[in-house]
Amino acid sequence: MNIFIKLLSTSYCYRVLGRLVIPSATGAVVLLLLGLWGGLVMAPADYQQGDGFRIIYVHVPSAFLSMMVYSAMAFFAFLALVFRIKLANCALRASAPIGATFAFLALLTGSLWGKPMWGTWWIWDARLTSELILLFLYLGYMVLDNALRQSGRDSRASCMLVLVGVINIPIIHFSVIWWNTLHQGPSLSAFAKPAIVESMLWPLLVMLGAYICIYGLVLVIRMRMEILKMDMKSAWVKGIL
Amino acid sequence: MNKIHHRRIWQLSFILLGLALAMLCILYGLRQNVNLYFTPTQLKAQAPGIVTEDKTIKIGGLVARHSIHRALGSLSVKFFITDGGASYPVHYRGVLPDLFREGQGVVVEGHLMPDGLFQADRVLAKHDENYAPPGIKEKINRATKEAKHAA
Amino acid sequence: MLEHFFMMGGYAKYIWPAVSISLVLLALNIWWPMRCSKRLLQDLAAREEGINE
Repeated sequence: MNIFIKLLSTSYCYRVLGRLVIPSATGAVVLLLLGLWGGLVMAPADYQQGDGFRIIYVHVPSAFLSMMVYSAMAFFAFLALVFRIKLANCALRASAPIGATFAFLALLTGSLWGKPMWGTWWIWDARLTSELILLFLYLGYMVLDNALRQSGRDSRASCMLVLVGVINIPIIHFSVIWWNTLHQGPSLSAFAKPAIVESMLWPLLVMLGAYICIYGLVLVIRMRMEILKMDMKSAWVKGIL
Repeated sequence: MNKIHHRRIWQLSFILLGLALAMLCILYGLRQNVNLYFTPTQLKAQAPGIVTEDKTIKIGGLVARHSIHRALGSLSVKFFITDGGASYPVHYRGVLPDLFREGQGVVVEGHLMPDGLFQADRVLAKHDENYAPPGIKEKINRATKEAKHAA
Repeated sequence: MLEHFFMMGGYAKYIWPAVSISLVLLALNIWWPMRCSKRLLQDLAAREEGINE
């Protein structure tokens, strides 16, 4: 319990996060290079889609992270609302821009994949539409939070928005199972054997690891900035200047 | 965790549960509208009068084997779309996606003519979630077939 | 050989934009907050000096 109490102190948290910058940056670079090499060079071409399937190595990690980051944000919003932890609010704010980027990239790379394979850039099926709603949830949170902050009000409304939007996450995940869609079913699942051979799978998992490191890195950098902004006038900030 | 925290958790769960239920009801009500396409069997089951010529609809199914006929010297193509049960003849003029072939999942968008021919404005290919290099895929297919025979 | 790699079996015009835009946007997401925090620290330090003088 002691470590939790320590982490709740902003100055301690600021220092601990500072120590995570180098490891997460190193992890991101190494895994990214390994994953791209594995996915674009080593993995064999697909029996159906030829080399076109290689977009999977940037598409699936973006899509997965867009949902993972939102789930993390919902957790932070819960902590901020129930326990009024200011650091949770910092983490929430720090996550939104990178989450929105992941959602945007999932849509963009999906579109670049859909054109040659499906024959269209975009279709209003359940998977694509719910992912677009996720992007709007990110943007909506960012706009609302900014407006609240500028008018000097607390951030309860924006936390509530994040929590309400979490309903969209299972909808995105199960959309391809509940309804018929143009988008195919999941290739990776926690419950089933992956529907993808090993030589194609390992670069995908490495890329997933790389994207998680990138999220960690951005979260750390942005959280430190939010903490500084929050504690601007405190003695410990003056101490480190 | 004190009383205030407990109360807040209850309030939050109550709100979120209500919203989730509302969402469930909406999605249940809209279930047919959220579906992207009809399967040929579903379309056959609909009263023929409901799907009129001027209504744009989508059918999803497989391109029936040995059913693709291309007209020489034009982009015109005819094939049957099937889901194992019902099937519809489809006519389309235009560029087909790379994945279009016999046995491939497709979604066709267009109009159902009174004579039962589906006049497609758009043909989209659907691919599955399996990824494998060419040789291995054939081996897997053969293995699953043999397993089925054995069973 | 290298040319063959960049051709990507005819899918080059879809794969390379997807990969490069992903990398650029992710890099921007790292670079921008780093720049902002650097500025913030400088601003705070400058303000501190102004008060002390």
